Amino acid sequence: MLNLNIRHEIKLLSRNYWFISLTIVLAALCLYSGHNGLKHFERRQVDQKQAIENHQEKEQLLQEVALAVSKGEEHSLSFRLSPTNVAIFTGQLATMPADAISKLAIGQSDLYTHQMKIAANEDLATLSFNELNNPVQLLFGNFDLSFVLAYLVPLLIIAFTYNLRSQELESGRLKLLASSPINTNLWLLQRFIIRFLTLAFILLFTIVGTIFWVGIGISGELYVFLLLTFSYLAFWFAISYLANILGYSSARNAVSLLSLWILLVLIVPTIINQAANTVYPMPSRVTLLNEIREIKSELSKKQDQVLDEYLRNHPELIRKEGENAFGYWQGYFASQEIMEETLSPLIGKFDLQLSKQQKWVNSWGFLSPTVLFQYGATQLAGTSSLNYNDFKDYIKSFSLTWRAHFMPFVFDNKSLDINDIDNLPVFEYRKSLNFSSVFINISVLLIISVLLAASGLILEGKRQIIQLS
Amino acid sequence: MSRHGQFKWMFGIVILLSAVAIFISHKQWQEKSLQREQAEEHAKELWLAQGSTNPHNAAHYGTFAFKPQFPLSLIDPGVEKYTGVSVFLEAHSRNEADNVAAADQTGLSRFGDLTPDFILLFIIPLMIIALGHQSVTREKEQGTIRIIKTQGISSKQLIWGKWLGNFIPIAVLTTALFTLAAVFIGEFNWKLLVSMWLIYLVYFAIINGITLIVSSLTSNSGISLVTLLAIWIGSCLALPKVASSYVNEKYPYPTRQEFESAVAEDKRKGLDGHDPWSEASKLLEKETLESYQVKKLEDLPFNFDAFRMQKGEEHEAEIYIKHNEKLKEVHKKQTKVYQNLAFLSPFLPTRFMSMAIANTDYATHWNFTDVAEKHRVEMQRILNGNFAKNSKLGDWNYKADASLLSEIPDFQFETPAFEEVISANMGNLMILGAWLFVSFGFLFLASTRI
Repeated sequence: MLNLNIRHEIKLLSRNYWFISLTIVLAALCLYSGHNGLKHFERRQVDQKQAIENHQEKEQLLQEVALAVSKGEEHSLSFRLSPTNVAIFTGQLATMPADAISKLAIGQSDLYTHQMKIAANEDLATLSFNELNNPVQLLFGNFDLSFVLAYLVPLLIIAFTYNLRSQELESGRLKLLASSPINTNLWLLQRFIIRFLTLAFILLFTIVGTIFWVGIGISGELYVFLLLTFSYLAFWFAISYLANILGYSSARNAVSLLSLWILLVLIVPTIINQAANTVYPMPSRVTLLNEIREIKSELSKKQDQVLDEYLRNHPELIRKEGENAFGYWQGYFASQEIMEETLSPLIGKFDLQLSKQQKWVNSWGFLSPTVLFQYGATQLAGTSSLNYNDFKDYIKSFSLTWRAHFMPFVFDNKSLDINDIDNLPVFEYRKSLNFSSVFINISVLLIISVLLAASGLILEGKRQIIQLS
Repeated sequence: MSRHGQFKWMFGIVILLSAVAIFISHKQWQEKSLQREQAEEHAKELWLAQGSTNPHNAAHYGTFAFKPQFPLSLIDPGVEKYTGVSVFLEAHSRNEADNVAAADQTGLSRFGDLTPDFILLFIIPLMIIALGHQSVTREKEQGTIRIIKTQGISSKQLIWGKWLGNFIPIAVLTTALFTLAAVFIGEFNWKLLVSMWLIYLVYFAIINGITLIVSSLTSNSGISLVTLLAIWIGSCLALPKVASSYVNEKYPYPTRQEFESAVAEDKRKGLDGHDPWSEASKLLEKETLESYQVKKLEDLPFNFDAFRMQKGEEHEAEIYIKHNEKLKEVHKKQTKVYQNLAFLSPFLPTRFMSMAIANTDYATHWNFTDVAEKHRVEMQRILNGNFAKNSKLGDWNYKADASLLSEIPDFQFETPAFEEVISANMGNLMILGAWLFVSFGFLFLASTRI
């Protein structure tokens, strides 16, 4: 029976105009969204390369000047070797390189910047990480593969499968089959499985095709991405199966599945988001601005005390007795550090609130499989808000290293020489991947799918008993 | 229809969602408004607290311009979440608006917020489809269409009756939502609120028309529903994203880094108010001496240091204008694409009109940053003017009287008049009108085919 069933189903599908056109639509959507992801990635690469080149030019100039000075020559730009000049005007470049897998999910990468100049005079409290962009684009979002998979493919699954059982009932074929010596339930189950496998195969084929087309190398992350995708799609398969088994009319199946889609994909995420913002509201940034200024002006009033306090914390910077008469920059950096220490509880509130929001979203996200998928996908792609928070933390801690590196020079009033120029601290961002949270999402999706499918099977078994009795 | 269980449920859910959305939006709106008012006052206090100080020190100390919250942003927050709300006004540089709310939220914020505009733009259209997709097909399926026809009712009457029957509850719901929002907002411009309400009614009329066209042309409710949902997803979800990806590929913005380094490059080439040794400074020196017919800078009737600083400021302001104009060119091209695509989806013109009326669109934001920049330039002019007039060359220890600080006017940002908003969005309005007209036209055609 299985053999016959497979052949029957394949013939049915291959002659089904609806099925073929939807397959073509699916392929087109995947390829087009892949193309968008690819273009976004390429632009990110080009921008980053440009920024790196610009910075290298600056560094080169610095090296030329240092070389000339080391040879004892006069150079009109020798002031560029002063520690404050190097620390502020040359600065260092912090970059967040793009992973090839980010072509699949643009995520938050259109909102945040990926290259930033680190300068010792920047206040960490007011660093802006936003990329220049048309806000309308941010509002609408991107048409990338993760959008197609999260929003559109579930609809295609529903369209393919909502009436598998009801159609047989409505066309009267089920009665005809019941009169023949086969187990109709088994026959139906086989049909489901064949239909699902065909669809899953087509999806796999188009998704993998898109992945190769945009050029993503095979990696652990890619496998996990595929696993995540299919766990998410398994949910929709399972829910559609259950709707079929519940045995209402085709029209009712369609309406209830689509309502569920609207609820889970569209409404629940916005409610969770709004709730997170309401339960854990962010403190006001505009209020913070003024608080920063107040602290700054207070510190500038008691400049001498500030320097004393600073030197107490940094005894290594104290020079020979009687020589501690420092100028503007020493005072500047001293008050900068003290200001940041004073501000850190205020800034901490923002981070705390954001992490609370994140926790809220993580725990309530289980209400919507779409949220689980989107979170996992952007994390794998390295474009989730968590990745950008990491990048921010890297920048903040590197900024401190960068500043601290120059303090001995500043307090010695000593310019940098060629050796010092070669040994400046270098920024490096490493994408940290929290596989465990992605696997939790995958497991939750799979468990829900299995539960749904199992309850469908149990229902089906019960029906058989009723039919027999 | 009122006896239809599905309908009651849907109505109930949408009313509940709207009430929650309005309530939460109102709460957040009030909080933000208060925060901004307080911040504005506080910033002014801090500015004045500088007391007697060197004008240029004051210029570096700077102050903030805060974007006010507009009443109708309660209904449609538009792009507010993605644009900054404060601009730091200081000497020598035009700063970008800062403190973008979306950057302080989790990644989930990209799914959207439960705000009234979300319900108006996405949920109510779905409701129209759910209510109307079977209004004609069911008559066909149940055969009641023949009975209706025997009663002497023409197809045209039937369709328009159905159209009205479907539209009236939606219009009532919309009106209720706007009334509720109006009660919460309290103070607002009636013209704006009414025109926003009308825009949404037109949007719903278009969708209602499309729903009935599809329902009349298809033979069964299932196909009608699937077709309508495909249209909804295409025009409300997919097309805006396609548009944004396309625009981003075709007319990309420079990155912040590129933009800033281009500005820095231009600044370096020109006059730096703090650098008396640059070529541009020497040239200015020569020209000034010549025009005042004196030999030494000391003989000028004003402090040349401050004068040079003002000239540098003017030069830098021009650079900023030049680069921002370039950015605006890109923005204009992008907007053009969105507008062209609006012919494919009634969602787009409605989205843009609604934001524009609520003063939460990108144009308002540009306007705000431009006004802030003008304010900054004016501030520098007053401060440098005082410095030049009342001190001598090299006198960096000069302190102006504290009253100078209060000479700087308060930052004021007025929204454009109603007529200006409408005329700036004439394109969108026309497209929306065209959609309404065409949907009625097709509905008329469809009514002949039942």
